[in-house]
Amino acid sequence: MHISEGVLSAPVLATGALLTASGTYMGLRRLKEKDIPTVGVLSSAFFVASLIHVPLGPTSVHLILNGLNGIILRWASFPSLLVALFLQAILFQFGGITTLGVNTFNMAFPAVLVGFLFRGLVSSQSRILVIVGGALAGALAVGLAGICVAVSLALAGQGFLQVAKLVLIAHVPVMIIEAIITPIVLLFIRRVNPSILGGSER
Amino acid sequence: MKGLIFLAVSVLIFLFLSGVCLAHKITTFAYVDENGMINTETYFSGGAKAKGAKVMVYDNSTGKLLLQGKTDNKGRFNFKPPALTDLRIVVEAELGHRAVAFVKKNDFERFFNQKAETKAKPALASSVGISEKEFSQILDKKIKPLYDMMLKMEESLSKPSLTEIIGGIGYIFGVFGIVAMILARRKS
Repeated sequence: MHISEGVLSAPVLATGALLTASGTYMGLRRLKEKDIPTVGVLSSAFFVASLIHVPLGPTSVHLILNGLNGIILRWASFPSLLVALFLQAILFQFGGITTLGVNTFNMAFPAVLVGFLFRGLVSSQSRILVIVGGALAGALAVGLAGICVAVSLALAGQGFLQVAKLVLIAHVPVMIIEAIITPIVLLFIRRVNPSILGGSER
Repeated sequence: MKGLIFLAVSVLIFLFLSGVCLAHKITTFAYVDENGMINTETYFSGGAKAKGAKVMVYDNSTGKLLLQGKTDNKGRFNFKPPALTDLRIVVEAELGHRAVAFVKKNDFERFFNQKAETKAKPALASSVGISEKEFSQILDKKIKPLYDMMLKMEESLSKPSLTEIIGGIGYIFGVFGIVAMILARRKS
């Protein structure tokens, strides 16, 4: 999921950086003081989750948790994932500094999207709806992130369908795992601190 | 509810134990073996081999593509140096993973021009009683295990260590602490 340095062309990198910058601005502008610890915790969760890697076929996959970030943080997913990806890039050379914009956008944009789509379901009274909303958000955020990666690589000249097929194969297992993990975490949060899920504007 | 937490924890433990490795990039290791072939090995951080990855060998000074191929099931791709020049080896695996390795021309120069080298060190060859070529073959054989050891070390270094992971979490908390500080100042 981390696109390495030197794979993408300059216009794609610049567009990614610009989109991520605007997303981060949106996130920081709406960020309330009391939500900052939540952003920090979710950022670290994302940072650690992406390090657990399962070898699969010719490549390997890992948990992403961008759906969970999106549900809880919405726009603040951008600063959250940006910080985590920046540290992964400088500490482990995952991805790279030049591709940071593209990589952040690829994961944070789907996060924000599912955040707005499923916030209603997730903050409802019914446990079943929370589980359904969480599972859909978890799976969809990963699926959309995969499509974003495929589009980025296609813009760099690799055949879209071929890459998309690979991305899909690689991400179906992750989608399934995220569809299980996301509702579990949401149910836990709902029990210990439901105000995090309450529809406060973010 | 307790059951759910238990389930979450067990899923995480399962993920950690089930041959799961900590990984996210590919690394390529290249060296010249005793027959003058350049051996490359490409793996994901964590040690899983990158199979069927595209390998491109460039002339590092001109940037010209000299040859290309694919890694085998063990993530290896071996080739004879196509020209006496510094080589840049670029490996691209699926989903935007990319690694670069360099081989300097003095590493395989002797296989191109063995006569020149024999001339350069005649004293050694005559005193030991073996030819320069044999000597260099023996040396390469001795060095081979060292290369393998270096490869293993590079592989383990490419994994994020626990210290780094915990350090990273600390950095994240620090960054958001600074954000909190700035917001608090703006407010007051």
